[in-house]
Amino acid sequence: MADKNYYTIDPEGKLRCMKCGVPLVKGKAKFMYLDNGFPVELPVCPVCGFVYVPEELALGKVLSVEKALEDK
Amino acid sequence: MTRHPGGDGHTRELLRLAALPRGARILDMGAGDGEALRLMRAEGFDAAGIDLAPGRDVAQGNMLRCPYPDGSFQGVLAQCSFAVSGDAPGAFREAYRLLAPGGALMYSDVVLPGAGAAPAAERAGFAVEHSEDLTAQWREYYLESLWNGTAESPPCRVPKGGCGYVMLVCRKERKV
Amino acid sequence: MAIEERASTHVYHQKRMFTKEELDALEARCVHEEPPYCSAACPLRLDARAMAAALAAGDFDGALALYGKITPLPHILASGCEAPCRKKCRLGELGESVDLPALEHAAARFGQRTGGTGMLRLKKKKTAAVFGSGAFAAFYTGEIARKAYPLTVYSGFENAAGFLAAAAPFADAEGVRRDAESLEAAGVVFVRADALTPELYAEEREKYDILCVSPEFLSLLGGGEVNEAFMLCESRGVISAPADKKGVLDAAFGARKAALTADRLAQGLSPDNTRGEEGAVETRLYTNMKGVESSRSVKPAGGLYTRDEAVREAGRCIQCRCDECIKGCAYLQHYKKYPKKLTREIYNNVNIIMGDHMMNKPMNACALCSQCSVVCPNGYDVAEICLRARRTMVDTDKMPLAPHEFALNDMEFSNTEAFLCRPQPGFDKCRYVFFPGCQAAAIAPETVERAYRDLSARLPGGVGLLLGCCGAIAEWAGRVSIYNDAVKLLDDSFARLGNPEIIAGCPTCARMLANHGNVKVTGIWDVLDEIGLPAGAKGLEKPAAMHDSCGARGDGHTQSAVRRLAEKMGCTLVETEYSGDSSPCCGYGGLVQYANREVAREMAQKCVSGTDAPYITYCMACRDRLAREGRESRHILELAYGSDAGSPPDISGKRYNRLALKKRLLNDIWKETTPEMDCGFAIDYLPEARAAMDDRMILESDVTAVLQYARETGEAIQDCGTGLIIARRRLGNVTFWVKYEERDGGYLVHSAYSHRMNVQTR
Repeated sequence: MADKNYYTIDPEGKLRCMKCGVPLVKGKAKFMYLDNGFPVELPVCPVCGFVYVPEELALGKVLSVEKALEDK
Repeated sequence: MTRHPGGDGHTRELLRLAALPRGARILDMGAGDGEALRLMRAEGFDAAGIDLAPGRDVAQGNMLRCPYPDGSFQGVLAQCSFAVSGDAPGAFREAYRLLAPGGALMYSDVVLPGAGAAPAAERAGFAVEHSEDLTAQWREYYLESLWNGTAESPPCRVPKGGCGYVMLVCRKERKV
Repeated sequence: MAIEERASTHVYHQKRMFTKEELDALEARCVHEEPPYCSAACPLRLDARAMAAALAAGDFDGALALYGKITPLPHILASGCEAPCRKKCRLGELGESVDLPALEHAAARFGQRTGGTGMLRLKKKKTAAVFGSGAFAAFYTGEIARKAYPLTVYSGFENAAGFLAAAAPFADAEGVRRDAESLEAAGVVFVRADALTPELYAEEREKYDILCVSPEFLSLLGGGEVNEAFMLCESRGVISAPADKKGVLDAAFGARKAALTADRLAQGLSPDNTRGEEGAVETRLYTNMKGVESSRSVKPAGGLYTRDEAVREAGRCIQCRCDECIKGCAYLQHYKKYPKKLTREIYNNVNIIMGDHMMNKPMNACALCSQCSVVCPNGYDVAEICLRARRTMVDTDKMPLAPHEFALNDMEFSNTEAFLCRPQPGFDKCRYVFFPGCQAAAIAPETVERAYRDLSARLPGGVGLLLGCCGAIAEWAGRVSIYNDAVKLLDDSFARLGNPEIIAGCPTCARMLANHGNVKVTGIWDVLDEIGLPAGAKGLEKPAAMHDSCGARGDGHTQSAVRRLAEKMGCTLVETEYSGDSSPCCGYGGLVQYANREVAREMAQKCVSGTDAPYITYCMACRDRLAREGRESRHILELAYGSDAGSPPDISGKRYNRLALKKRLLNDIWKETTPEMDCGFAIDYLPEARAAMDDRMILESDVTAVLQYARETGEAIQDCGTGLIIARRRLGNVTFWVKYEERDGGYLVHSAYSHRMNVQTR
C-alpha cells in the first residue's frame, strides 16, 4: 500500500516549538474521526511531537470531511 | 471517475487472473464512464460496455437485461456495479447467461457484513476460482475520495462501517 | 452529563420511525400532489393548469404538447368537448370560469407539433381494423394510429379528411384538415366501402388481430352488450362503444379506454390487467381563495381567440395549488419541498442503515414550531415528523453530535454552573417560584433581576427563584434521556421549594413545565395582568407589532394577555398577516440556529417582513433573534421594568450574563459570596477575534482553558513570520486552537478556531 498523504505542508523553518526550542519539521500525522483515518503531513516538533493544524486546513478541508462523515 | 478502488491496476489484475485469450469478447456490466472498457481494448480485447447512464463508448441499457444472446461473451467485468443494480443475484445470473462455457466473470464490489459474494456467484452456476478481500484497500480509496471531495453519492446505499469489499474471479465451467 | 461522540455506525438494528401504514396515513394529509379541480373532472386527465400556465406565458407549442398528450385529435376535441372542467373551475364560484375549451382550441391552432408523428416509428406486429365511422371510431382511429398498430379503416370514406369531417360536423374545416394530417402521417389505410355489410365484415375481419366496430355497425351486426369499463363487446370479441353515449368527450374517453384494451388484447392479456385508474376523480386539493377577485372570461372579438386574447384568458387561471404551509414557512421555502415529499425523504433518511444521510440537514433545520399544522387545511405537522426522526436517529445511534452539541453544552451550563434555586429570604417554602428561562438570564439579566424583586415584593407567601433550563433544548435535539434528567433536576428543586406555583417568564418554558404533572404554571404576563404593572412601565412611542412566540401557539389566552399588557402600557399594536396561532418561528426553535444558520436567518427575516414597525415579543429568544436582523425589538418585560437589554450579546456574553446574574443575586439578595473564578491573568481580544469566535461558536471560557493549559505545560509554537504564539487543547470532542501574543503578563488573542478530528503523529 503506497504511503500516501492527503495533505502536505512544509513549515520551512518558520515555526518554532517553544517548549523544546527547535523548529517544526514536516512530519507524518494522522487525522482520526469516527473510526476513519486520514494520513497527512503537517508541521511537527521532532522532539515532543506537537502537531500543528493550520487554521485554513481546520476550517476548510477538515471541516468539510467531518460534515461528510457525520452524514454517513 | 471510475467508482472502484485500485483503478487501472485493479482491472489489470482481474484480467490477469481470468487469463482470457487475446481478442476475447468481454462485456463490462455497469461500464460507467468507459475507462475500463477502453483499457481492455488497449490490452487487445474485444470489449463492449453497458450502463443505464453510459459514458463514451458505452451502450445505454439495463445490465440486468442485456440485449445480447446467451453465451456471446468470453468475459464479463463487473466492478462496483452489481450492488447498485438493485438485484445482485439477478446480475450474477445474467452474467452467467452471457458467458460462453469456459468464460470468466471478473467481479469486485461491496458486500454486507457477514455476507460474501461467492454464494451468490455459486448459486448462479459459477465456480469460484479466486477470492480476495480488498476491504482495507477500498476503505483507503473511499477516504481519499472523501478528502478530495470527489466521493459521489451513488444511487443506492454505499456500505460502510462493517462492510467489506471483495474481488472474485469465477468460471462458467464447460460441461463434460 | 457525558455526551458520547458517536464512535461509528456499527449499530445496525433498525428501530423504525413509523410503520408503513402510519407513514401512509400521515402523508395522505398533505394534498399538494392532488390534481387541480379541472384535471380531476376531466376523464382524460388533461393537465389544464400547466396548459394555462404555458399559454399565459405565450408558449403555444408547449400548450399543444400538453393537450396533444391526452388526445390524438386536438382540433376536433377542443371544438366539441363538453368541458366538465369548466364546472369545477374555482373561478366559477366568484365570476366566470376559465374558458378551457377555447384555450385548447387556441393551443391547437397556434401551436406547432414538435417531435415525430409516428411516421418513422416501427409498426407493431399485430394489426388493427375499424369498421364504421362516427366520433368514437374517429377518436379510436387516432388512438390506435399513434400506438403504431398498422390500421385499416373500413367506412364510407376514402381518406382521413372525409372520415373526420363526418365524425365531427361541429369542427371547422381547417381543424379537421390538421387532425386528418396526423392520421395520414401515421399511415392509416382507408378502405371505402359503398355499404358496410355483415358479409363484408365476415370477409375482411380475418385479416386483422384487433377489431373495432362503431356502435352503429355493431347494431347492424345484430347488437351485443358493450362492457363500458373496457369498451369490449365480449360476445363478439370486438371493441366498440355503448350506443347511448353520444357526447364528444364520451367518444374521446371511450376511445382512450378502448385503445388500452386493444393493447392488452394484443399482448395476450386480459383487458382488466393493470389498467390503472381511469376517468374523472374526486380531488382533495385545497385552494385558498382569499384575495382572488371575481372576473369574467375574455370574449373573442372575432369568433375565435387571437393569440393575445388566449394569453389574457389563460392569465386568469389562478393555478390552483395548496401551498398554505410553504407560504408561511421559511424552512419549507428554503428546501422547496412540500410536506408529503419531505416526510418520505426524511423517513427514508432515518431508515438508512448504511450509507449517506443526505437529509440530516433538513431534518435538523425545522424549527419544530408547528405553524404548518395550523395553516394546513388538514393539520399536517412537519414538526411531528422531524422530531420523531431526530429521536429515532438518537435511539439508533445515528444522530451526529456536531449540529446540537453546542446547544446541549449550553443547556448543561444553565443547569450546573449557572443554576440557581433559592426560596425567598425569610421563607422556607414558597407559594411561588419565578422561572424566567435560560435565555432571559442570558440576554436581559437586568430585566430578570427587576422582575424577581418586583414579584417577591408584591406577591404574598414567598417567591422563590429558579435559574435553569426547562429542557427544551434536549427535547428539540431528540435526546429524551437528557431531557428526562432535566425534568428530574427541576422537579427535585421544586420539591425543595415546597412545590410552588411556577411563574414562567417564557411561553416555551411554560409549555414544557406544564407537562411535568402535579405542577401549576402561570405566565408572568397573567400575574402582571392581575396584580397590575409595576410603576414606570412604559410602552413604545411608535406603533409596534406583536411577535407571537411559537411556544404560545394554540394558547389564545396568553396571546391576548400580552396584548392587553402592551396596550395598558400605552403601546399601539399593528397586526400582521402571520400572527397568533400562525406566527412563524424566529429561528431559535428546534435548535435551527445551531444546525443551520442560513435557514435560521431566513426565519427571522420572515418574522420581520410583515411590517416595518418595531416588534414587541414575550419570549427572550425571539427578542434576541429579531434584534439580530437589525429590527428594533423589545421584550414585554423590558418595557414593564424600564430596562433595555441593548444589542444582542454574543455567545460568550450570554454565558457571562448568566453567571454574573447568579453571582450578583446570590451576593445581593441571599448574602452568599462565591469565590472568584479568576484564571489569574488578563486576556484581551482583537475585534476580529471576537467576531470569529462568535461565528465559530467558541467561548471565552474555551480560549481561557487553552491559554491556561499552555501556561501550565509550555506546549505552544511560535510563527516566526507573524510572531504570534499558537497553542491548543482538546476539550471534550473538540480541539481548540488560539493564536495570540503575550502582553504585560497577559494575552491578546488574534484568532481562535477548532476542529472535531483528533490528530496524532504516525
